[in-house]
Amino acid sequence: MSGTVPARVTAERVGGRVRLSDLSGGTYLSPRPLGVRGAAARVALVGAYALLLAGDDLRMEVTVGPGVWLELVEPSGIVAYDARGGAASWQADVRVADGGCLVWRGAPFVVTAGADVTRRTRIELSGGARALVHETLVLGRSYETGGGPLRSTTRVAADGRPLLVEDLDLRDPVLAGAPGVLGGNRVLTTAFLLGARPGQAVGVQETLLHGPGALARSVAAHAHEAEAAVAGSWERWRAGFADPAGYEDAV
Amino acid sequence: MTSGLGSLLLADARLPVGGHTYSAGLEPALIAGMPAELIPAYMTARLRTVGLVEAAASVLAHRAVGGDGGAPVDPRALEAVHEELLARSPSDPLREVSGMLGRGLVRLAARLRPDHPAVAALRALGRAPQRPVALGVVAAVIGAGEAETARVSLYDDAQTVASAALKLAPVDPVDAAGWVLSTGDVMTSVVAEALAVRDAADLPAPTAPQIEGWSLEHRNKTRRIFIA
Repeated sequence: MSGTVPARVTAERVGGRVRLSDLSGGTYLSPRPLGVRGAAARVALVGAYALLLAGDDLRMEVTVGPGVWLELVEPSGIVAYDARGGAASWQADVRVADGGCLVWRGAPFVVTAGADVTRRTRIELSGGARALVHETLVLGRSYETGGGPLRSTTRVAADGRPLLVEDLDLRDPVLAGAPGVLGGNRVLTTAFLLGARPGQAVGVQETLLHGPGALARSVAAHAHEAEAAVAGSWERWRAGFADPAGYEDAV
Repeated sequence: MTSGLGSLLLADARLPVGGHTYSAGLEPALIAGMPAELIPAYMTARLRTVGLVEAAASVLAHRAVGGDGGAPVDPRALEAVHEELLARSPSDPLREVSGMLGRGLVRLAARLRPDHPAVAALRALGRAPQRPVALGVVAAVIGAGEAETARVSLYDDAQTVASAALKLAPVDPVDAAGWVLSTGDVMTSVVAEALAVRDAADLPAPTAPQIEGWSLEHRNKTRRIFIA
């Protein structure tokens, strides 16, 4: 798995405008600019081919400079296929600088039965940085009874201090299906608001973190149900904490 | 040779620290529709997820205030464990309950060992530190070893589920005791995992999404026996 090239997205602010100073394609993923408006930019993450197969090691590095608003768009979901004894990994390293804001609505990440996948998401925020991230993990396609093994870890730090650390370890099917973990459900959708804390949690899916952040999460049998359950939180947080308006007309 | 009283006291529900208000998530789980037959599986799933996080945090807290070797108290190390634990506790109501139980332990330690530097370090975390950190400190102060501390932490969690089950479902008390006893192998391996953790940043973080979700659903319930 060594030698894979990470995809890179680096957005900097030069004067009042965004400069996408690095949009390098990686072995598995190519970033494509969708548009720039003032200090706000949108970038699509396009898969180089059918993802992920045994031995694949997808990596990406996202850097949002000071005062930049960046949205990452995934036009299609990722499907991890039966690894037939091999393993695949997916890793994102994200840095958001002071005054920067990242909006990343990930497409569903489907782990089919037999796929052995490790996902790692690392997010580092500095100063007044914010990130709004949405992920949907699906165990098995709709006609399969389950998927994986999957292990998905998330580590978020704000100014070097831990904000959220999670290790969703579904490698043991007994534990994955146990009541309290997923309890036989296939889908986990989470919206993470990081670097900002709403006044209160709204609805049963939301919780405030100890530090500056909140999380909205749903465990459900189907992706549309899980996504619908957190849709309100996503929209409210996006409007309240990750609005590009102030960035688009920056000079 | 210590008397062994420390871990017995901490594992005893009669210790006045407020544990009777807590069902270790069982009441929210049952209200959410988990069948009562799954209570033993729920108990085990907790041990392997939140149980591991809490046991490991207790061990690290125990070491931060001197541990088995009686090293000097390191308030910054204790603070680091507390911070890492909070980052692994996204559920606001669960943090609140943990703080409430932690406060009970702080009160106990402050009365029994008011001048101990470990108690001062614990109180410096605030009035209501998270329970596992308070447990580790109190265990160290009253002479329980780190392995006993991890075991107490896990045993208490399993026993909390078992005793809440008696109030919430038609369960024979002997069966409930049997469930706790049957977690022995899991508990032994989780204790070993907890003891193997060396650094606060490496504190395990196994997530149990349903347990967290159910705790959020429970937060505004008016008809409930337990607060979580």
